[in-house]
Amino acid sequence: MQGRDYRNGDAHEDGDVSVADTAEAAAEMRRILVGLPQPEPDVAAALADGVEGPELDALIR
Amino acid sequence: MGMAAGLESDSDSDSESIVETRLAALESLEFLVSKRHNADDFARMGGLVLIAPLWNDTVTVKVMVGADGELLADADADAEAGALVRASSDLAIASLWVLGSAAKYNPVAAEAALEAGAVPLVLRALEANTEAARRLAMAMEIEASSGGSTTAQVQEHDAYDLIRPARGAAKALYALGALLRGGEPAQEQARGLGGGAVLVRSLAGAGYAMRTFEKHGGAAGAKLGR
Repeated sequence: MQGRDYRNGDAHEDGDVSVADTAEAAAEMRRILVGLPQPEPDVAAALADGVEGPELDALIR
Repeated sequence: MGMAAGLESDSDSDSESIVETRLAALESLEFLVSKRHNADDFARMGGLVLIAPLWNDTVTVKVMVGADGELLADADADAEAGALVRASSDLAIASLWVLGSAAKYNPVAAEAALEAGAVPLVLRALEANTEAARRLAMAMEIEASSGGSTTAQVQEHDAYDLIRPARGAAKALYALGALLRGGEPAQEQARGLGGGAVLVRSLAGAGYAMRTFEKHGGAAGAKLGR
C-alpha cells in the first residue's frame, strides 16, 4: 500500500496528494471491493470495469 | 458451563483464513479512506453500500448472568431469559471502523452512508455491544466476589473474546460520531430512532464495563486499557 503511515504519527491531510496517488488509491479500493464482501457477479464485474455512480447504484440496489 | 462460555459467528461457513483476508482488506480500506479525497471516491464507487451488510454481522455471546445481574443456571434452558446476547463480529468491527473513517468530516461519504442505512445499524451495534460488555462485566464481578468458585470460565475465556464487545462498542461510537457530526439528516434520523437514549444507556454501560474490566479483568482488562 502506498502513502504515509499516519498510525506512526504522519499527518494525513490531502494537501500534497498527486493525481497518481488518487488514481492508485481508487484502483486499490476497487480491487479490494471486488473481493469484499463477495458482491454479486454483475456488481463485481462492473466494479472491475470502473463503473461507478448511479450506474453502479442501479446494480447494487 | 461458565458465565461467558462461547462465541458463535453468523459467518461460521467462512473459513478462518477468509475472515483473516477480509479483515486485512478492511484494514487497508480504512487506511485509504482516512484521506478525504479517497473517501469521496470510495463513496462514489458504491463502497459504503457494499460493506453495509458487514456493519450488522454478529456473534453470539453466552453470558450466564441475566440483564439484572441474576445468575442463570443453564445457557440452553435460560436462552430465552437472556443468556445469549449478540455482539459485533470482527468483520463488523473492522467495517464500522471503515465507515467512521470514511464519513468523518466528509459530507459526501456521510450522505452515502446514510443512504446505505448506517444510522439504525450503527445504533443497534452500539447498543448490542454495550449490553454484551455490561453483562460480561457483571459476570466477571460475580466471579471475582465469589473467589472464582462459582465458575472459572470468565478467567479461562480468551481475553480477546471478552473484550470484543467493548471493541465493537468503541468502533460503533466512532462511526456514530462521524455520522452525526455536522450531519443534520443523520441527527434527525437518530433522534427518531431513540438515539439519545441508546447513547446514554451505552455510555453508562460502557463506563461500568470499563471499570469492572480494569478491576477484575486480568489480561482482558489490561488489553482494554491499551
